[in-house]
Amino acid sequence: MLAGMSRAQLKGQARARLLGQYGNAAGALVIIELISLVFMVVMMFGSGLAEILLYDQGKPGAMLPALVVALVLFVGIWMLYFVAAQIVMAGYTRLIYRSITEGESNLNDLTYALNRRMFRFIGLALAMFLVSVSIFVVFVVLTALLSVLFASHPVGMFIFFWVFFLFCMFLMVPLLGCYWMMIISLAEEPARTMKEAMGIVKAILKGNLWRMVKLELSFLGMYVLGYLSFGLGYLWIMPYSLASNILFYQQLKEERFGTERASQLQEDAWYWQERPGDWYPQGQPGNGSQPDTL
Amino acid sequence: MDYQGQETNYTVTEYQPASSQETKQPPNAMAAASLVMGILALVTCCCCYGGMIFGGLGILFALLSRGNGSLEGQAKAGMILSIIGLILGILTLAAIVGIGIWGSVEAYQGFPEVQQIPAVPDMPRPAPEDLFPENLLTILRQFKMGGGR
Repeated sequence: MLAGMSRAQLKGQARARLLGQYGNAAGALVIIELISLVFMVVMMFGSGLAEILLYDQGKPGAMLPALVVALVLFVGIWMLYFVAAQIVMAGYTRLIYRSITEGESNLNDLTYALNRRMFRFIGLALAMFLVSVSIFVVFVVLTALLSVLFASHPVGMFIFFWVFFLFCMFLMVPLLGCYWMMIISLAEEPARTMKEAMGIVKAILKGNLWRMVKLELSFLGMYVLGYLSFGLGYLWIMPYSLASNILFYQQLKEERFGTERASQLQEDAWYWQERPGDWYPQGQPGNGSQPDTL
Repeated sequence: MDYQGQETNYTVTEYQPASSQETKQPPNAMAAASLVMGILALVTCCCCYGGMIFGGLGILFALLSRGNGSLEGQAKAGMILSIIGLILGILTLAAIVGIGIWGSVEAYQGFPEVQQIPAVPDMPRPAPEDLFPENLLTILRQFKMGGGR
């Protein structure tokens, strides 16, 4: 039972359950990074190459169509990348979820979202992207306006800029936390709709938002270590952070609903049908038997 | 109760996720990795980046290896070596940057003729035709004047 555990105990649980699972977790991240790299290379070189090929130096006004084609190609490939990234990240969440709840995982989990209503994940990521862009635009516009007003006070402008920047960053933390809670909720149950997931996340985060922010911020030290190792450390930090978030999600669910939810049981049964006798961990009540009723 | 607080007619079967005690404990590879990284950090700390990369990873692996309990012997050793390697790596990097700056200042002061070099005079502004290719210039002019030349 996770209810009542402190943040340190929760993170300890995440570490303990991930031991022996880091191979798949880090390997999956390497695959995701390679996919990103391929998209980036195609995006940069493809659009550049299109521009070079289409630009006829001898013809006046030939640059504009070449630029437009390159830009369209760039945006098109970026959109494909965005969709692919959301699919594999949903699969990655599923992989970590299975690693810490079932004690096993498979790299095939990366394609989890493909045949399980993947537009839920894409729509959610698009919404998050639009919110982030909105915050960024507000930040840039306000900074530009105030830089005109504070033009004669560079120190004041400097202080304002950093305070406002940190405020925006701090604003992003709970937003990102909610986003990941939604992803976890959607990855947990294949049949769950966005509305249901939003209802669950809203219900469990009521009064617990600050706890979530504290959990997210508690990984800052680890992120610094990952940065010092030139990003290599993130291969192990990401699973740890995600596993802690998943356990936190489960803890909040237990605290809010008292026990595992009905949808969790539905999912259990779905797996049980595929692997009879292999669902319950050894030593647990009901080992190898079907849940009483659903 | 469901998530909206309404009573449901489910009969709940207790499900306990596999805990660390119930599952087979694999040998703690993270602790061993931490020790290896610590040794590598110490060996490569004079290369500044080596100490930082291996030191950072060593500390990370040691922290992740402890699970619910305390650090194992290997992880402790790895942690200590990694911290030393990381600090030495950062100091080496700082020393390299410091020596670079100090050397530049010394070189500047040691050569008075360098200080005598006059500031870059105002250069004549090049004509737009020299900066842009003809096609781009035509396009820009079309945009600006609402028509061709």
